[in-house]
Amino acid sequence: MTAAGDARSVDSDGALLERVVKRDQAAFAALYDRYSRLVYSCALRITRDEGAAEEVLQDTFYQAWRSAEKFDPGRGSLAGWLLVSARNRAISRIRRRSERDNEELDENSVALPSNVESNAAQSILLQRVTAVMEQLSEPQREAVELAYFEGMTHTEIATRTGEPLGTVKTRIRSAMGILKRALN
Amino acid sequence: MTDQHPIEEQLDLFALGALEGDERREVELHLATCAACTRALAETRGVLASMALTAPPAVPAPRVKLQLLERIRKDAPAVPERQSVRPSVETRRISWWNRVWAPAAVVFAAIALFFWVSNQRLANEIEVLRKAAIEQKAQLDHFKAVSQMVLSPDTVTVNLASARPDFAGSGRVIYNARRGALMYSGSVPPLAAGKAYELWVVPKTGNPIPAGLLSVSASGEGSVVLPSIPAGVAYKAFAITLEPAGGTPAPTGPFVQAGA
Repeated sequence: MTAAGDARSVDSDGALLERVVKRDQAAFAALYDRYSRLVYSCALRITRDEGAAEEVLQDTFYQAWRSAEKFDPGRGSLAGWLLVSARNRAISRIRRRSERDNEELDENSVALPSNVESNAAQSILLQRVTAVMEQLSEPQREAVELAYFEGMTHTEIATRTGEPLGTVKTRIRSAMGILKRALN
Repeated sequence: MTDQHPIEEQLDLFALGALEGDERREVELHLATCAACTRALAETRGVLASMALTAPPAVPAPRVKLQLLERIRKDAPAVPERQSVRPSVETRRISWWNRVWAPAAVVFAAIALFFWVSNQRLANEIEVLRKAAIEQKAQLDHFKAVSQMVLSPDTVTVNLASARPDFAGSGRVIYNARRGALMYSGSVPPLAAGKAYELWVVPKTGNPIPAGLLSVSASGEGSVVLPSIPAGVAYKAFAITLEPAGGTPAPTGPFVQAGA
């Protein structure tokens, strides 16, 4: 081959999950290798503590191992579930909420806008999200990030920013509209 | 309200976990019986989960993976013990000497074996951790390079569409000419044995530049990440051709996707 880069067959999430259901630890390790960086980066961004982020990472993947048979790649995204589940766990830690206060997250209840099974796909989605976030006004971005990465309710965001509750709701609504139109 | 669909704003706030009190409980009750709102919520969660990708890239310590694998190993069903071999009915007369020293020798041998096994295990673990640390550093450098490329203002995205009716599929290239950095992700038809998809940078002047062979998943997702290409090439288009496995220095097969 003259071009750089190796062509190789890559197992899909679905194929790996089928093996994980049969308790194949190598397949589970492959899923960990594929998504641990994303999950850990998210957990670290929220908790700002390496130890806490490592625990969130490990607990999230352990939960995926235990409930592997419930995932259906045709209905939901494993990567999406890992990210939402880790985000909820991390928020529980910084907000000192019991994890039982979190809604139970169905294994097939997250539909990512695109497949992120490869590094390239993850990078392309990151570029799309970054481009959309740049379209948001600074107050819109701040409101969405406080809700997502700090786990604040709209009332708490209003208190933090000193803006009326209605203004905060409008900002989140319009920001979410822009994000959904651009990504879905 | 449980029979009425929640307004979009309520679903957004619910997905963010920012809905409180009665409003939250009402949405939960409604979701339990409404498939349409459940689908809408899944899409909203997916959009929000995408925001997690904007977190600064970080790679977990290798020991986390080892600890996790150890944790699940304890969960794995126990392998049935092999049946013990039936002892022979013939017994040997054991001298008093053997009665004293044979058990002692067994104990010493067991202790020696224990230390040898422990040493081997520790040496193996150290080697695994050493390799993992090198891998972790390489991964972090790689993802930082990817992140810098993706976030660079002069990075462009180019959509690729199917170039032949018998080859369905589409994809995206993100390209930074200054850095000589490129990534492709998209969908491609299954590959026949002995064939490969090859990506090309078509420059404004000169011949197409090979930009890597696609890795193709069983579900038809193809990707190329940071192939080795020259920096400073102004592109006219990007294209994918079907080539013999191993690729070629210049396109020979049909164009299956292209975009400019």
